[in-house]
Order: sequence, then C-alpha cells, then structure tokens
Amino acid sequence: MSGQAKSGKGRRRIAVLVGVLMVLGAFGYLLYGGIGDNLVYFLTPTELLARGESAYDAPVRLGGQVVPGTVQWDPDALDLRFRLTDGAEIVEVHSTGAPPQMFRDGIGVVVEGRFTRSGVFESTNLMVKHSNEYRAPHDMEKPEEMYRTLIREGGGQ
Amino acid sequence: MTEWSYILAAYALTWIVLVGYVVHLGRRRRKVVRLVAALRSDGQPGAGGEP
Amino acid sequence: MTETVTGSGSGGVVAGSEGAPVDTREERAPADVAQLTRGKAIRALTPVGWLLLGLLLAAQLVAVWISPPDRDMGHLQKIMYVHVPALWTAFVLFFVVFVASLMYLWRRADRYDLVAASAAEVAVVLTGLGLVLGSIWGKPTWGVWWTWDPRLTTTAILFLLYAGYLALRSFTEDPERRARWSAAVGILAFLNVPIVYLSVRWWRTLHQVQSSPSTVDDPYVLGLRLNAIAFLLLGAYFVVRRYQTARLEREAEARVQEASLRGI
Repeated sequence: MSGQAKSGKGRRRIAVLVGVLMVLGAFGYLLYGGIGDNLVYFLTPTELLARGESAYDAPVRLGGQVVPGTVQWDPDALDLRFRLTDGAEIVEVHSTGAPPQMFRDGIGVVVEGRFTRSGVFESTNLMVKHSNEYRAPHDMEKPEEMYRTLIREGGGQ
Repeated sequence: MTEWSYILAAYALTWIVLVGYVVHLGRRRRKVVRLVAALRSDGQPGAGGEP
Repeated sequence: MTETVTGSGSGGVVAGSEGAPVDTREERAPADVAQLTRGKAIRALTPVGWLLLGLLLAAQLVAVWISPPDRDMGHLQKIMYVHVPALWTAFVLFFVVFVASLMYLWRRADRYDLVAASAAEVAVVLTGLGLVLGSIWGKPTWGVWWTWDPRLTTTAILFLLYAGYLALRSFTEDPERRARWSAAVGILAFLNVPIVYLSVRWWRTLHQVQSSPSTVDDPYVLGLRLNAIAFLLLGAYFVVRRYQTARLEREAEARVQEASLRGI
C-alpha cells in the first residue's frame, strides 16, 4: 500500500480540508454574517408597529414587559388581556387560558400570535421570560399568595 | 402543589441518568475485562498495544 | 503496553486537569489473568465514586433545605441546582475534548484520543440531561416545554454535534483514522460552546442571561456552588472511569486485529 494509498490519502486530505473550511465558514457566517441580525427570536412593540401594513396578520413573536395595572383576567372565561411595552410603544395583547405561574405586573413576556387590524395582538401562546434575578422573599411575603391573588383558581392548575 | 411534582421529576431524572450511566460504566467494564482476560490468556503475553 | 498504560495513568490530561484522585494501577497488566476478572477490576464504582455520589446527594439536600422560595418562581427555583451544574460540567468536559483532540493531533498518542472519547461520552449524557431538565423547568415557569430561541437551539445543536462525534467513532473501524477524524470534529465542534454560552447576550432569547452573585441571593448562590462542585467532581470521575475502560477496549481491539493478521 504505497502509491495508490498515497493518492487516496491526498484526496482524503483535501476532502477533510474542504469539510473543515465549510464548517469554519458556517460558524463565521453565524458569528459575523447577517444571521446576527436575522436571528431575531421576538420583535419589540416598537419594531412591530414600525412594520406598518405588513405587521398585520403575520405570525410573529412579540416580547416586552407587562404594563403594571393593565392585567384583566377573567377566570371563568379564561380570558386574559394586558398591555405589553418595550418602554417606548405599547401593544394590547389578548390571550386565552391561564398564564404561567410567574405571570404578573411588570414581568417580561413573549407572546406568539398575530397582530390584528383592530390593534390587538391575538396571542396563541404566552411565555413568561424570567430575569436573571433570584431573590428570597421579603419578610412576611409569600410568593405563592402573590400568584394566587392574580390568578385565583386559574385553569385547574 | 404541582410545583413539587416538577421539582421531584427533575431530581428523579437526574438520579436515573446518573445511576444509569454508572450501570453503563459497569457493564462496559465487565465486558471488556473478560474479553481482555481471554485474549491475554490465548495470545502471547505483551501482544497488542501501540508504540 | 505496560509502559503506555502507566504513562497514561500519570498523564497530565487525565489525572492533572481532572484532579480526581483515582487509582489506575489496576490497569497494569496483572500477572494473574484470573485476577483481572474478579473483584476490584470489574466494579463499576470505586469507593471514590460512591463518595462522590454521596457528596452530590448531600449537596442537593443542603441546597434544597437552605433555599427559600424565590419571589417569582417559588420552589421551582430549586431545579436550578440540577439543570445548571449538569450543563456547566458538560461545558467543562467539552473543553477537555477540545484540548485532548489538539493534543492528539500534536502528539499522536493514543491516550489523548481515548480521553477525548471518554469526556465526550459523559458530556453528551449531561447535555441531554441538562436539556430535558431545562424543559421540565420551562413548562411551569415559562409556560412551554420547548421553544426555538437561540439559547435552546444552539444547545440542541451542541448535543447533536457531539452525538455525531460519538457516532463517527463507533462507525470508523481503523483506530488511527478514527482518532484523527474525531480529533478534527472534537476541535471544530467546540466552536459551538462559546456560541451557546454567549447566545443569551448576542441575541434575544426567552432564556435569561447569565446570573451572577449580584443578581442572585446568597442561599441560592451557595446551593448552586455546592452542587456545581459536586457535579463537576462526579463528571470528572466518570470520565476517568470511562477512560480506564477505554484503554482496555483499545487493548482488546489491538489484540483482535493482531490475531487476525497473524491468522492470515
């Protein structure tokens, strides 16, 4: 196994080199190429509204914070309305079903759904975005009760 | 209440995986130890291995 | 054979960077073959292993005991103590794969290939565990088992890359070729680890950015540290143990090949 093996080896080496370059290229594209901008998991209310006409009726994710004092929860109809903000613009969100336990005023949420022409974002899936903070409750504060005051006997949890 | 069932599931799964991996380690080890013992006894001593 | 095995036992990568005090003496070819198949050599765990499992259990009990319910998450915060250490340990082990792969290409010594393979196997198991634990944590807190956010997606890719690494190893017959190819994959795949780690800063994600002691109250920090240390030690122990077996497997492989060559 000398001459034949050698040319086979050389070809294999080129194949390896090409493979390596392809993987490096893919990573490079991921890091420095357009994907950094295109890989947007959710839009902010400002970005959604800036889309103008094309914002309507397209499936998107919208992320922001629940504006304190705007949560309206109907436990019988499992109907939830609140406003979502990025600090600049506000979008009204409508969703059905009990939200996750952590849902409350001021918390970050990501909703999946469509922005309708009535100006309300119809959410089919509501996700709560937790911050990187983990805090022990203050004295006399019970997190479970904070939750229950908001979502009283919500959705057979 | 269901809160704890998620917590329990997480810890239980962790231990199932860890113990499962230990079992895997033991199995592989027993298998190869028997094989090596057999190969050593019928092959020449010191066979195999790399430079 | 005896020299290489002894050399690996004191080799910098295994004993040095892992730091787990594991006895590899039993791997030296015993004069008595029967001795190899009995007792110590075929146990899955040495006393050190039992100790480390006990340490992890103790760390979990302490952490769960000292943690008050989190203000947002309630008791669900406690899933942090398994989810985070599993993935941290996996990241460290992927780094071990990376270094061992580089060392293999540089030195062409078998033991580096086997270290990389052993670390990769443990790391893949822990990444899989971490992903599922994250899913169990995500359902009650975020409200979903899974979502294609950049952190989750890149972590899933990480899992697949190294699962592919293990598959490549099992499909390649020739040990030398297997070692070279998998070293290349072991180095390239590691590029994804910093991407996973930084994904939460580069892109918008549902997953939160890294916490730090300033964003996490003391009992949680302590609980997490205890568990991270216990998990890392156990992971390192698993790698050492897997490596010892891998050496024997390599010996068996070499002997079988040699026997078949002699036969022809």
